[in-house]
Order: sequence, then C-alpha cells, then structure tokens
Amino acid sequence: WRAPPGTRTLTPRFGPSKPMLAFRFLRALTLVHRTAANSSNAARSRRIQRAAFASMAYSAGPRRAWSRALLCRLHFHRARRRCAGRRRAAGVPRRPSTTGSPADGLRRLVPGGTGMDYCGLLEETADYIRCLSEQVKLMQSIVDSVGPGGR
Amino acid sequence: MQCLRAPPDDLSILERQGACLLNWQQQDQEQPNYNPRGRGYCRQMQTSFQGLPSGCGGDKNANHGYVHGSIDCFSNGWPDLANIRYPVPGAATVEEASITNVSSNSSRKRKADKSPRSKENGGGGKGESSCKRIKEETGGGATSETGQPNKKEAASGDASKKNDKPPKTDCIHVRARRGQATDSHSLAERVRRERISQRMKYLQDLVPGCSKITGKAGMLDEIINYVQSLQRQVEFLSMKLATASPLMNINIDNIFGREVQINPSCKSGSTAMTGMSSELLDQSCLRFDSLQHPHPCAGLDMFMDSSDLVLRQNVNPPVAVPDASFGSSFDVNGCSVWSTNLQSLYGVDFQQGRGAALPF
Repeated sequence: WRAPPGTRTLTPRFGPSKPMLAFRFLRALTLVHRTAANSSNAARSRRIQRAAFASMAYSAGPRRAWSRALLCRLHFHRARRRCAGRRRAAGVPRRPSTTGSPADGLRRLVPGGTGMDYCGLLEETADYIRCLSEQVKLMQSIVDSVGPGGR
Repeated sequence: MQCLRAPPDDLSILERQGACLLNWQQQDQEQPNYNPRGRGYCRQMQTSFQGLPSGCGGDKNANHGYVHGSIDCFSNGWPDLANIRYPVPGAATVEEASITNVSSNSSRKRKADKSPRSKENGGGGKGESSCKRIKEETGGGATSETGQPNKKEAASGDASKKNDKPPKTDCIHVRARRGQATDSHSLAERVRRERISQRMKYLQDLVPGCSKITGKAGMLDEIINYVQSLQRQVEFLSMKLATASPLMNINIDNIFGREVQINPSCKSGSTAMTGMSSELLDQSCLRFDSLQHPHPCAGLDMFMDSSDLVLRQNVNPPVAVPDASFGSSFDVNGCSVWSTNLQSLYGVDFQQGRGAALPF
C-alpha cells in the first residue's frame, strides 16, 4: 500500500490548521474537565494528553500517514481500555530507541513510521514536528492564559 | 525567495531569474513559511530545494527550470507553460519532470543570456545537475534536442561540470553527471538521494539548532531528540492543564465572554457552521466515520437551534482566527452546548468500530 502521489509533498501545503486545532483541543479539554472532575490528576492528565494527540491528528487531516496511525492507535487503546480497564498513554514512546538502522528510533517515535520508506518517513517527521510544535504552543498559551492563579 | 513572490509583471523574466539565482546561491537555508495560500510559494520551495544542489554551470536549463518550477508564479510570463497539464493531481508534487519541462521550454527562450548565468550557477552549487523529464509532456522530447545544443554552447566557456548527452532510452530522462554511471538504477538512486537530502534540509530548518550539525547521523539524533522533547512537553503541559482544571472552566467562559462583543453578527455564523461541519466531516474520513458523522451533525443542529448568543459566539470561521493570539481568540464558545453532544466524539465506545478499525 503506497500513499497516493498527492500526499508526497515536501511543502507545508497541508500544514496544521491552527484554529481547528485550538477548537478541537479546547473542546476536548472542557469535556475532560466536566466529565472527569473527580478523578485523579494523573488520570485527567492522561486524558488531556490523549485529547491533545487526538486533536492534533484530526486537525492534520487524514492525508498524513502519521495522523491516521495516531488516531488508529488512540481508538485502539481506548477500546482496549474499556475492555480491560487498562490505561495507556498513546503517543508516548514505550521503549528507548535502540541502535540498528539509523532511522529506527525515528520510526518508533513518529506514529505510523514503521511501514514507510526513509524518504516518506522524513516527510512525515517534518509534518509531525510541525503539528507537535503547534500543539505545544497552543497548550502553553492555554496554560499561560489560565494565569498564575490557575492552580 | 522574495523575488518569486513578486508579481510577474513587475520584473522581466530575465531579471527575475538572475535575482532568484543569486538568492539561492547566497542562501543556504530557507525558512519555510506555512502559507496555506501559497501554493505557488510551496512549489517554489520545492524548486528551491532542488535548485540548491544544482549549481552546474553548464546546465543552466536545469537551473532555469528550478527557478521557474512554479507555474503559478510565472504563468503570466510563460503563456506556453500555462497549458501544461501535469499528471499528478493538484500538481502538488512538482516532480522534476515538470520542472525540467519548464526548463526545456525556458531554454529555448533564453539562449542569449546564458553566459552571465553560468558564473552564478557554477559558483555556488554542488554541481549536481540531474533532472527528470517525462517525454509525453508537451514537446518535452522535442525540446530536449534543442536544449542540448543550447547547453553545449553555453557551457563551452565554463570550467565546471558539463552534462553528458542523456541516454534516450525510455520515457524518463535523467541527466547523468560527467563521469557517473548512467544506468537506470544509479540514476534512480541518485534521485532518491536528492529527495532525501531535500527533506533533510527541510527538517534542518524545522528543528531549531540543527543548522550547525552536518551529517545524517547527527541530524537524525537531533531530530529524534527534538521529537522526544516535544512529546515530553505535551505530557508536561497536559499535566499542568489537568491540575489547573477547576478554575479552567471559569476562565474559558470569561475568555468567551470577551469574544462575544468582538464577534460579528451571526449571518456569517451559519456559513461558518456549515464550513466547520464540512471540515469536521472531512477530517474524519477515517474508518471511524460511521461513529463520528452523526454526532457533529447532531451537535450542529442543536447548536443552530440554540440561543442567539451561542450562534454569535460561534461565528468565527476557521480562517479568521488569528494565529498568534490564542489566549484571547478562542471561539469555542458554548462549550457547554458542544460538549454534551460531542461527548460522543470522545467518549463513545469504539468497540464496534474496532473491528473495522485496523486497516493497516
């Protein structure tokens, strides 16, 4: 299965949509706060982290392999969690990168990186980095806007 | 790169070329601008990545092609190029074929001005001069012959690498470097390497502090570290957001309270809603569509029925939100209205979707 040629772009043509990212993430954030107000902080933070990755993946669109893989992973873990009551932090690497092919560490980090050739992996990494940095900026600005009295 | 953004009518074609080539010779890196409107710019970025290594003095056609890879920018100046239809939909991937097609057309027009270019081209580049062509493109095959004598006569006075006559075996023509193997495998390998190096350069621009690192291994380590640090930051910030939760709601409402006065009337709100709904739907064209599609619609319907205040709050079409000021420009109003409906988006049990969930 190869990606259609339209997706192999080097350029930020399908870059992250910042307003949609903000929209989705805030929506998820308020949802988490309302529904899990009495659960532990760690559980809430995990949910927020998953919501962050989900909103990232949704706003990046289905054209990117990493966003598809990330959403698959999130939904899969959610289903497993509801079955078995386990909790996993999606999007966080579970193993340190080992030596071997130089791109292996990167493949583990970027969602969906294992099934890609090196060239596509670099492109997906670039897009993933862009989206991640946007997400981090967004979350940082939310934290800042809550203010020092936010706790 | 600024020259390429200038409207084509302002500068002559030749001046533009010269300016652009000079820019590329001088610049090692470029800061990618995430301009969703800049399709032309995006192509220019592609062409710039391809143009950077190609400094061969003899192969000015390739350089010209790299300059003029962007059809959007130069269609006014190149009426014959505007008719070129590329096989790739959206022409997002400006393959080297299209670029060299442009270059072959441009070479015909610019015979006389090769000599001043040769010095610029030969000076800065690495001498890589391979380019791909697709024969069935408009006159690509025909212009290749005309292109070659032009190149040869221009390269006569040039000390840097020249092009060998490309072997015209099949539809894809790749120009081999002097003294290099010309079989298809090595050429394809070279193209692949070029592509990889383009992407590595792009990543180098993206990752801060990577400009001083040379070598692929070090770059990869830097990239890995950066991705890991970003993921850790997300985790840390989510922890912070979780602990700040009880007061978060109040603040968000306050933020949206400010936005109410700012936002315009709700007439555009309905269009924004439809736009946003279609966007939501577009973005969820994954395997979980069946679970997601009804819910945004339901949410939107309920939303449209709700009060004026909520409608006005949700006016903001996605494109209108300014990029920088996240703190005050959140238009995710009526979260209370949304969240109950959209709880299904995030809280629904995906078990039934799980069976179809893993297509990979």
